Amino acid sequence: MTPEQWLSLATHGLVPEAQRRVRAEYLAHLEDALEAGEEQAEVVSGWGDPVQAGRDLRRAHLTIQDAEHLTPGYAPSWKGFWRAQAEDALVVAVPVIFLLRDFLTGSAKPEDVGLSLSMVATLLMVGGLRWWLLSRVPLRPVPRAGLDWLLRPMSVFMVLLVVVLGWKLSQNLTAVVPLLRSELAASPELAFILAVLAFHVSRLRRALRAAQKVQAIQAGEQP
Amino acid sequence: MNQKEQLRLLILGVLERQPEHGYAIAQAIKARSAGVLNAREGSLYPALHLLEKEGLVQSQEVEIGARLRREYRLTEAGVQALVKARGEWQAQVQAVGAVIGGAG
Repeated sequence: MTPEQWLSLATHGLVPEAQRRVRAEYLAHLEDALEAGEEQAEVVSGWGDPVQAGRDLRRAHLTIQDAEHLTPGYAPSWKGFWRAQAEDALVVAVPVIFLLRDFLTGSAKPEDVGLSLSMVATLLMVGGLRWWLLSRVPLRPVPRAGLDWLLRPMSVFMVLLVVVLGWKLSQNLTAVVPLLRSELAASPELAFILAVLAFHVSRLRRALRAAQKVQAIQAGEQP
Repeated sequence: MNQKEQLRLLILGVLERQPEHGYAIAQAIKARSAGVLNAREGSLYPALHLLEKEGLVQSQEVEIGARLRREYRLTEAGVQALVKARGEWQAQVQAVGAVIGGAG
């Protein structure tokens, strides 16, 4: 196996910057070893199993998959603000569509209109707050990832759900589980919503893991 | 202590004396153990990078004889981890010695 083939296997899945660093170190090692009189084949064989090395390197470095979960942030301008709002557009559109439907069918009730409008306002505020914090406040990668996740419409929805469940629990502890069971049986949409929420939570775990790697890399590399 | 933990201890032990780059660390392990221990480079660099991720070592690119090399140095947390791991290793050696005997 040539050094290039070995490195290509070992650095598979790493972001380009990490690939460059790993390659530079192994090639420098090879250069030193050749200068000391070692044979190339002997050196590459000493590198061991590239697949195993790759597995360990992916634990230490940012992978392409990790990078997808990093918070890119927003520009501190109107363009950045509108980008943050556009990311939530699909979720904001839901109460608006329901509101329009109720208006068109003439079934709009004042309390439903109020609820829909307050939902839209909350979502717009959450998007704005996310834009402001991520574009203006200097944060380390981990709190940044946490805030980005928390200020997403799905997280807001989760918080509301937890508040409602907490309130129900405070009312009657034993009634919540049967209530959830009956709700799940009655509406398959609820199961879908819970699955989406579980996926959303898993995104937080991945985002935090990626941010922790970035934070560790920033702390480990001296300027 | 498994092989990976042993390698981490060896790396920290080498870096305790002075900052070194990868090839020099591998050579120091080989030389100090009189050729008995051989850090396979395939696992040496991932171990170094993981130690860096955990904040036990720091790295910096330096020019050595007109060549660019990444040099690693122990952090304060690395020194503490070395002291702890060394104690664990000595306890393990003593325990194995007590079982197999022959140490006098």
